Amino acid sequence: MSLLEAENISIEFGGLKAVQNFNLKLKDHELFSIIGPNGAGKTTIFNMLTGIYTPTSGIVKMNDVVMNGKKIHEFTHMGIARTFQNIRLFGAASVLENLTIAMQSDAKYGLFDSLLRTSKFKAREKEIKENARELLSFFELDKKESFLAKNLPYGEQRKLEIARAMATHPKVLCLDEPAAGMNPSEVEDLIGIINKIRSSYDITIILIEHHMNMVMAIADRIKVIEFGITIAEGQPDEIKNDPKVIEAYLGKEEEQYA
Amino acid sequence: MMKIKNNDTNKTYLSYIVVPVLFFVLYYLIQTKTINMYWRNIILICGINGVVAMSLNLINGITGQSCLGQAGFMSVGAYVSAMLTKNVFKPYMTDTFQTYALFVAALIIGGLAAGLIGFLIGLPSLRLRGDYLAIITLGFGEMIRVMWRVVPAAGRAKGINSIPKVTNFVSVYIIVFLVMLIFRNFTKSSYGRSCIAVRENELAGETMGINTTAAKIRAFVFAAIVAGIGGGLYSHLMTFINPDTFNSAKSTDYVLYLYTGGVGSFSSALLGAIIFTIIPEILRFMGEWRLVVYPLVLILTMIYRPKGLFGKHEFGFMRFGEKENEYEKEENAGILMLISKAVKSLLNGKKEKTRKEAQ
Ligand SMILES: Nc1ncnc2c1ncn2[C@@H]1O[C@H](COP(=O)(O)OP(=O)(O)O)[C@@H](O)[C@H]1O
Ligand SMILES: [Mg+2]
Repeated sequence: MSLLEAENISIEFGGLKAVQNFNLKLKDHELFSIIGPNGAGKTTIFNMLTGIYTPTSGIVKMNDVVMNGKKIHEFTHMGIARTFQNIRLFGAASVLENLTIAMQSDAKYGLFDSLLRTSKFKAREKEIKENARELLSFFELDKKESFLAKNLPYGEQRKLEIARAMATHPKVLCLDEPAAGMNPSEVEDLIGIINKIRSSYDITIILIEHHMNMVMAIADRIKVIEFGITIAEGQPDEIKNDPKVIEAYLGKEEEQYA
Repeated sequence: MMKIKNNDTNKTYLSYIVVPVLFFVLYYLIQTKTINMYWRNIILICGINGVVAMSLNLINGITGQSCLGQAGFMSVGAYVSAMLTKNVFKPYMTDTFQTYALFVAALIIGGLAAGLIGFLIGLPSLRLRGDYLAIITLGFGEMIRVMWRVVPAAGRAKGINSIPKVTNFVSVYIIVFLVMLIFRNFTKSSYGRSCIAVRENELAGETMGINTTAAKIRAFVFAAIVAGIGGGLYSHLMTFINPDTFNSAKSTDYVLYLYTGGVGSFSSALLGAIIFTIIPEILRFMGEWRLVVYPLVLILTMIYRPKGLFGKHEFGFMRFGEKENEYEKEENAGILMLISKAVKSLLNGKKEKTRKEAQ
C-alpha cells in the first residue's frame, strides 16, 4: 500500500495545459519538495492532490483508493491536509477556534447530543479543546489563543495555517510556499517547526517553496516543474547540479534575487 | 502585549437570573393589566419577531449566506399550523392541557413543513452566493406567498380567519427562551463551527474536512423550522392571516431587525427585533412622518456602525456566562458600546491612551 500517488495527472483550463503528466509516489515519512518558477503549475498540482480540481486525465490515489471526483472534505478525511499560498484562515474566529473548527472529525457526536449537551458531547468538546490547546503550544501560539486570526502578525498567520492543517490529523501535509513573505529569521523558525513536526508526528510532507536554501536544506527528494512539465527529479545534490535545472530555474532565480 | 484572562474562570451568571426575573415581572404586569392589551400584543409580537430574526441570524450571521425569504418560511409555519388547529385539532382542544399540547404539536408540524421548504430554498445556496442568492431567496419567498393565493384549503386570497387564539405571553416567552437555548447549543458545537467555517472561508472549511454543503443546508433547514414556529405563534396570536401578511416587505423587516441589531449575534437579533418593533409604535404620534424617521434611524445606524446597535456581542447567557475575550469585544463593538466608551472617557476627562500603548 502506498500513501498519496499521482499517475500521469494533467489538467487544462480552456486550452491552457497548466500541468502535464505529473507523477508522484510518496514514500512514508519523506519530505518531498516541488519547485519551479512562478506560474509553473505547482499550486495547481496541490489543488489536484487535495481535491479542489479534478485532473482532466490521470489518477490521484490515496492508500490505493482512487480519489478522482471525490469531494474536498473526503480527501481531508483520507488524511491529506494543506495550507494555502494566499493565507485562508478563519479570520474573524479566534486562534483557538481556527483549530477547533478543523477538528470536525473528532466531534463524533450527533445533532441531538449537541442540542441537549449530553455528557458525551461535553466529554468530546473538552477533549477537542485540550487537543487544540496542546497543538497551539506545539506551535508556540498558546499565548495568542484569544487573538482573532486576522489580527496575528503575518508570520504567525502562516504558522497557524500549518497548525490548523495538523489539527485534521493528516498523514500527508501539503505546504504551499509556507515561507513566502517571511524574513530570514522567520524562515529559520519555520524550518525548526517543520523538523519538529517530522520528529513528533507520523507524517509525510510535500513542500512547495521558492526559498532554494530552505528546500536544499530539508528536502529528501525534489521535483522541478516548468510550464507544467516535470523537467527534473532527484535528491537535492543532483538537482543542484542538473544543467537543465540551472538553466531553467536556478540560474534565473539567482539573478532575480541577487 | 495585553494579558489574557483565562476564560474558564470569572463566569457571570447575571443573565441566568435576568431570564426568570423578567418573566415574572412581565407576567405580573400583564396579569394585573398594568400593561394593557394593546402593549401586551406588542410585547408578544416583539418576541415572535425576535424568534424569526434569530433564525435569520443563523443563515446570514453565522453561516454567512444571504437570505431574504424569511417571511416565506414563516408563512408556511403560520398556514400549516393554523389549518391544523382550525380544521383538525379544534374539537379536541377542550381543556387547557389538551389545547396547549395540540398547539405545540401544530407548531412543530408547521415548523417541520417550513423546514422542508427551507431545504428547497437552501439548494441554490450550494451554487450561488451573495446578491444572487439574495435575489433567489426573495423570489422563492414570493413564490410561496403566491402559492397560498391559489391553494383552496388556505383560503386563497382571503386567507384563514378565526384561528384559535392560543398564543399567549407564557408560550411566546418560553419559545423565545428555548430558541435562544437551542441556537446557542448549536452554535457552540461542531455543527455551529462548520457554519462559521462556511462564513469565514468556505474553501478552507472544506479543506479542513468540513462538508460545507451539509452545513449550509442544515442552517437553512434549521432556520426555516424556527421561523415556521414563529409563524405559527403569529397566526395563533392574530387569529387571521392572508398571503399578503407575509409579503417581501415582511422579509425585509427581519433583515432590518437583524442588521440594525447586529448581524452575527443572536442576542442582537433579538434586541434589534424588540427595539424596531417598538419604535414604530412609539413614533405613532408623528403620523405619517414616522415612516420617514424610521428608515432614517436605519440608514444612520448602518452608516455609523455597520455592526449594528448592539454589535456582534452575545448575552452572557449565550456564552455560558463566560467573559468575552478582549479581542473579540473590540472587534464586535456596536454603537452602544462606542457611546458608552465615549461617555466613560468624557467622565474620566482623559483619552484612552492605554489602548494605543497596548498596540
Ligand atoms: N482555475 C484556473 N483557471 C485558469 N487558469 C488557471 C487556474 N488555476 C491555475 N491556472 C493557471 O495555471 C498556471 C499555473 O498556476 P499555478 O499552479 O498557480 O502556478 P504556481 O503555483 O507554480 O506559481 C498559471 O498559468 C495559472 O494562470
Ligand atoms: Mg503557487
